[in-house]
Parts: sequence; C-alpha cells; structure tokens
Amino acid sequence: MRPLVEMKGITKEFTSVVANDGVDFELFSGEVHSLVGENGAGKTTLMRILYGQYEPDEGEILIDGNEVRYNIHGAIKHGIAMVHQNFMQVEELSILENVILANMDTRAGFILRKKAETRVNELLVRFGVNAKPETIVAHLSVGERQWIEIIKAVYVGARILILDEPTAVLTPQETDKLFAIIAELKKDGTSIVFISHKLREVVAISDRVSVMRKGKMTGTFDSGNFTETDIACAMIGKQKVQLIQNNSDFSIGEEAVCEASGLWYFDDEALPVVRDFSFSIHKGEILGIGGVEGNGQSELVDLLFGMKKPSGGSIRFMGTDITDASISECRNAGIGIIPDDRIRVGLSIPSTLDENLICGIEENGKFNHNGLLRLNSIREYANELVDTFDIRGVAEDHQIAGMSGGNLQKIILAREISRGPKLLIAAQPTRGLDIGAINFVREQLLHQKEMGTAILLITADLEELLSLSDRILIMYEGGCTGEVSDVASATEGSLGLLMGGIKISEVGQGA
Amino acid sequence: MQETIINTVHLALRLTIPFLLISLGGLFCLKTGVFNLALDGFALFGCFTSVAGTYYTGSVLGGVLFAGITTSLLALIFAVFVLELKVDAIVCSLAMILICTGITRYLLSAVLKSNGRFVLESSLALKPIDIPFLENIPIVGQALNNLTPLAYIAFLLVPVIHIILYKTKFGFQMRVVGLNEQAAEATGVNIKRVRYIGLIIGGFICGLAGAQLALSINMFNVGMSDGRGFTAFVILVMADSRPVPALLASLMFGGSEAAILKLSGYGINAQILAIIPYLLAFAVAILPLASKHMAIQIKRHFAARTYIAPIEKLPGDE
Repeated sequence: MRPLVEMKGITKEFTSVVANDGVDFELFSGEVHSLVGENGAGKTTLMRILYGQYEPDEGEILIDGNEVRYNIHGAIKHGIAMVHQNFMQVEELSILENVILANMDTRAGFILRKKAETRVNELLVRFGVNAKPETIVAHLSVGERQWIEIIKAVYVGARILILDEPTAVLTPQETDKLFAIIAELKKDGTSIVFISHKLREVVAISDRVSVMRKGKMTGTFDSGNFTETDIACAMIGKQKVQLIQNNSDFSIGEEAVCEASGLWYFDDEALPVVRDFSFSIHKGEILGIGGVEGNGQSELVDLLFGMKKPSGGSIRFMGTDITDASISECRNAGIGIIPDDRIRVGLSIPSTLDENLICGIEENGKFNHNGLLRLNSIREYANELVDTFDIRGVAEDHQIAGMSGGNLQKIILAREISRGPKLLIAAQPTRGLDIGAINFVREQLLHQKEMGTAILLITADLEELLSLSDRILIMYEGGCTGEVSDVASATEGSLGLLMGGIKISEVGQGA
Repeated sequence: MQETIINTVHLALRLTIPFLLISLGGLFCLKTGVFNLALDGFALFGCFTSVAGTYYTGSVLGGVLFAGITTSLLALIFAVFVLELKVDAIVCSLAMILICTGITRYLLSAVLKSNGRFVLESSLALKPIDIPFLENIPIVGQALNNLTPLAYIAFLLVPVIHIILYKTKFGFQMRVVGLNEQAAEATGVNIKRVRYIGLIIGGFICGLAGAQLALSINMFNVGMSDGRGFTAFVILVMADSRPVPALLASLMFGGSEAAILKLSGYGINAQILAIIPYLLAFAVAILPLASKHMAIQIKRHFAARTYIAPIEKLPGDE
C-alpha cells in the first residue's frame, strides 16, 4: 500500500540548532501514528513542516505519491490540520468564528453565517461539547477548547490530523474521551499523527510509533511489536537513564516552616481562583501540589511570596505572619522561588549571568560599596556558582540569551539555593528540560531537603509528583480535592480522579 | 435661537469630519494590529498633495484623488519598513511624522515656490453642496446640509466599514490578525497581505482627510494638520477601533471645538476652553482604567462576602 504522506530527508535548521536532520516519515491512510521523543527532539518542527508552517531546508514531501510544496493555506487544501500545543484560538471571538476561520463559505466576500452555524452546532453535539456556536471561546474550559480545536479540523474536512501533545492539559478522564474521538475519526478514515511523550498513552492508541532523538528519526515500531521500554530506550538513546527518586530516608521535622490557612484569592472577574486552601509544610519535607494546570497553582505560588495579596486567609512563616508582607520581606525571611516561567519571571534574559545571580542581594556589602557595584567580586561570585551548579555554555561576556533551558534553570537554582532558603517553592521545576537536566534539578531539590529546607513542589507532571513528594495535595478549581500522605501506594489513576475534581471521600480511601 | 442651534451643530459637524476621516483611516491600521502613530503625518502629507494636485490638474476631484493615491503610496512605504524590514512600528511612525513635516515644507518651496502657505484660487475650493431635501427637514437636516462631498463620504464610510468588518471575509480576517496573529497564521490567513491592504486603504482615507482640511479652505499651511492625527488616535483608543464608536467620539471632539468657537464669540475665554478636548481625552484614557480598578475591588469585596463569610460562620462545616 502506498503511504498517504511521505516525508523524505527533511532537514530544518534554525539559528545554530539543527531541529530536523534528514528525517523520513510515512503516514498511511486511517492509521494512528505516534511521534515520540524528548522535548527538543524535533517532533513539533517536523509536523509544522508537514503543516506548511515551516519550509524545510532540504527534503521533499509526497502526498498521494505526488511531490508537493505548500504553505499553511495549501496544507489545509490538502486536508492537513494541526492542533497546536498552545491552542491557536482567538479567545475574544465565538466558537463559530474560530471554527470557520480556516474555511468559510462566502458570497461576494460576505460570510454565509447561517449555513456555518448549523454545521458547527451539529459538530458541537457530536463531540459532546455543551456550548452554543456563539459562545465566546475565552469562557470555555481548557478541555472544551481542545474539542473546539478538533472540531476546527473536522470542519475543514481534514484527512490528516496532527495532534501536538493534546493530553498535556487534560485530566486522565478527558484523555479517555479524546481517545474515543480519535478512534471514531480513524474509523472515518482520518490519519492521525499523535505527538506525545507519555509512553502509556502512545502504547494504548498507536498503530505505529516513530521515535525521534536530537533531530533524527531513531526507529519506527509497528503495532504489537513494542513495549514502553523499547520506546523509552529509543527516546533516550539506548542507555537506560533512571530518573532520580525521593527515597524518603531523611527525617521530616516536627516544626512547621510555613502554614497557610483558608487562603482565598479572587481574580479580576472576582471569581475564586484559590478557594479555602490550607496546608502546612515542615522542615525537610517535600509537599507536592498536583493538579491540571490552571487550577489555581500559579496564583497560590504568587500568594506565598507576596506577588499577590490574598483576598482571605492567612500565611505564617517561621512563626511570623507574612500575609501582607512584600516580596522582598518574604524573600529576606527565607522564601526561595523557582518560578514556572523561567524566561519571563525567573530571569532577565537581556541581562548578564552576573546580574541575574546577584539580583535581590545586590545590597549586600560584598557586592556593593557605597552604591557602586564591586564588579570583580561579583564576577568571582558568579564563577564560583557556575562551578558549584555546573552551569554550562557560559559565553565569554556572560550573556545568557543563547543558553539552553537546562542551564537557565541552573542559574535560577544557583541564585535561590545560595540564599539558603528555609522554604523553597519550586513551580514546574523540570518543565521542558532533558533527562540530564531533570536529574540535576531533582538532585538539588533532594539535597536541599536533606539540609532541612521545606520544599513546596508544584507540578503538573504526575510521575514527578509521585517520585519526589513526601505528601501530596491535589488542587482542583482553586480548592483542595484531597491529601495523599501515603505516596508510595498512590497510583496515577487515583490522582487522576482527584485532578478531575472527584473528592477523596467519593473515591474511597484507597488512594 | 433656532438659527444659532443649526449653526452650532453645522459647525460641529464640519469640525468633526477631519477627526472622523483620519480615525477611519487609522482604524484599518490598528484593527490589523499595526500600531500606526503616524496618522498626523499622513494627514499633513494629504493636505499638501491635495493642494499640489489641484493646482496642477486644475480640478478639485483631481486633487482629492491625487491626495488619496500619494498618501496610499506613503503608507505603502511605511508598510514595507514595518512588515518587510521589521522596523518597530512606533519608531517608524515617529520617523514618518518628522519626514512628513519636513518634506511638505520643502516641497512647498521647491515645487510650489512658496513659503509658509500656498493659496489656490477660490474657484478651486472643495465647496459645500446644497441638498434640497435635507433643507426641508428642520434643524437636523438643515445642519447636515451644505457640507462638502467628502463629509458625506465620511459619514457613509461608517456603516460601510462596519459591514466590511463584521460581515465580510476580509473584515473578519482583519479582526483576527489584530486579535491573535499566531492563530490567524496557523489557520492559513496571509497576515502580510491583510496588513498591506489595511495600511494602503488607511493611507488613502488619511489622504482624503488631508484633502478635506486643505481644499475646504483652498490653501496649504505649514503644519496645518495641527495634531488632529493624534486626537484621531485617541478617538481610536476610545472606540476600540470600531467604526460606530469612532463616529461618536469624533462628534464629541468636533462638538467641543465648535462649542469653544461659539462661546468665545460671546466673550468667554477661548484659551481656557481649548483645554476641554484634551481633558476629555485624558479622562477617556484614565477613567475606564480607574473605574475598572474600582469595579474589581468592589467585586472582590462582594465575592469575599458571598464565598468566605458563610464558611467562617460555620467552621468545619462544608
């Protein structure tokens, strides 16, 4: 059988990075073909080339056996649709307007709205989305917006549907629904490319799996011929690298480092984003806060170090009330923070390594003499931290703009840990990092735990939550749906229910 | 009394037209997400080319079209710098404003051999037209009558642009490009094309605005756009780049200018009154933010009462 799509020898280079290096990829009609690999392996780039968003530097694409060249507009004409990881939706517009954007019927330039409305309504019913075509997209939940993306693809009559990490923002239950939809589309003859790095999902739904590593295709497995381990080995390059686990040998202190009770936060719409959330965290404890992203975790972090003021409740840190304390008061009292957005919040990218490292302690007499910076001792201090935290790829002039995510994260770790925090808030600390860097971050966190630092770990990654936490709280719509003290016997499934808002009493204490 | 009202409203409408035309032109840039701050420069350029065009063609229509086309070309240059060479739109706008001031002054002496101002024969003025059926409608119709053809075109453009934006494919694409460039690109909208077309149409309308300003008094004065482009920008911000609200905001600015002129006729100090539009602009820029901030505080306060208070009364009870 001739493949529907053949990509041959695709090479794509971005400034100094080869994202795709002579990649071959085939897609047959009506198959679910998964594309797996670590972050930065080049999966998204390859699919953006197939979607006409990037032009390949080398290589050719054949559709139905004919060599074709096209842009996005052409891709849509060829029946290719892509659901991007961060949705390509115009939040201010209605579902209808978003769906018809790629393909609208017009007469003399005027949009034929009525006809489109009927079809969109049918699709909303078919995919079980409880909304009207004129509902504004901003009012939908993340899960619902995922269905809208798929409806967009079906509406343009896509026969090739690319899904880029579609389950990253879904609960396990929503993921099941997505898989049912994928199965249904497959039955209609749609070919699906499923990009993921969650091996369990990949094994569950794929007819074939292709693995990418550092811009190259390292192997394609046919259905029934692979296990999770095979794929994992191909992903990380044959050697088995284990992610570091918390083996809980270190004693957790009795003393509460930080106690939050009944925290509330109302956003600009006066909706409760954090609702009645309480926790206490002890010396040497890693408290994991899990949950699907966007359920109040980032607001909770902001409340804890003074970036936002709580609308209700109180926070005590080392016995003092810090509910209304400023950011610098919180930091000077001993709260360290690894923000979830390292590019925008964690660092100042246009500044140098030295400036980033002393940011917040520049008042210290060691770095500052009567208001003038002591540049030499700052450079010395920076070099010391570069060695201690194994920060690599430092440019001659100490600019950080071109550094990799892992090394940028190390700069933040260096800055925060060198301040000797009593509480370290780590928000999505390993997001987007490769396995080496993930292990480095985990090692540092566990080392801090050993030193008696309380660590509040906010993560959307269930594996990380289960591997590192001594205790877990799950956030759902700003509140807490359950506490898991016996982490060793918790499963991803039971946490999944909590993440979907089903309280622990309803599940039974089996978690 | 009735006469005074009609006169005042008529004056207000006349003063509204330049604001309206410039802001409708600017709308085509802002709606597609191009921050074109150079509207004043475009209008000034249109003032000059309309006078020069009328002078050389000997026809008012020729002058008006010449202004539209040349200002479109100017907008095209702006578009090439911003869209192709990726120059920051604000930097490019400031350069455009300076260039327009300089080049009109230079061409005035180099081409029209004149300094400071150039006056056309009065037969080459853009004359008001008398529409008999309007004259029969008391007050409103009478005030609306005897405006220039460009004034009526400006008023007609408001519903036309509204329909383009909200009913046609091109208008829809313009809105999407302005709201979310990435989403537009990912669905195959040709962003550059939409922005080129938007900027060129916008330039044409700004050119018409210049023609209205200069030809209605059949002369060109150095710097005669007099900051109206910036006021038009304020109008667009107030109106969120929508045509109907832009008309209303333009009427407000035109109205307040008319009030100044009329009241100063009664011996009231016009210098102080001249502050009014700027205070209005300031209020319009600040008040929504301030009131939004206050509304959020009030909403939070009530949210705390609905959500938190019941829990605190019944501790341990959900």
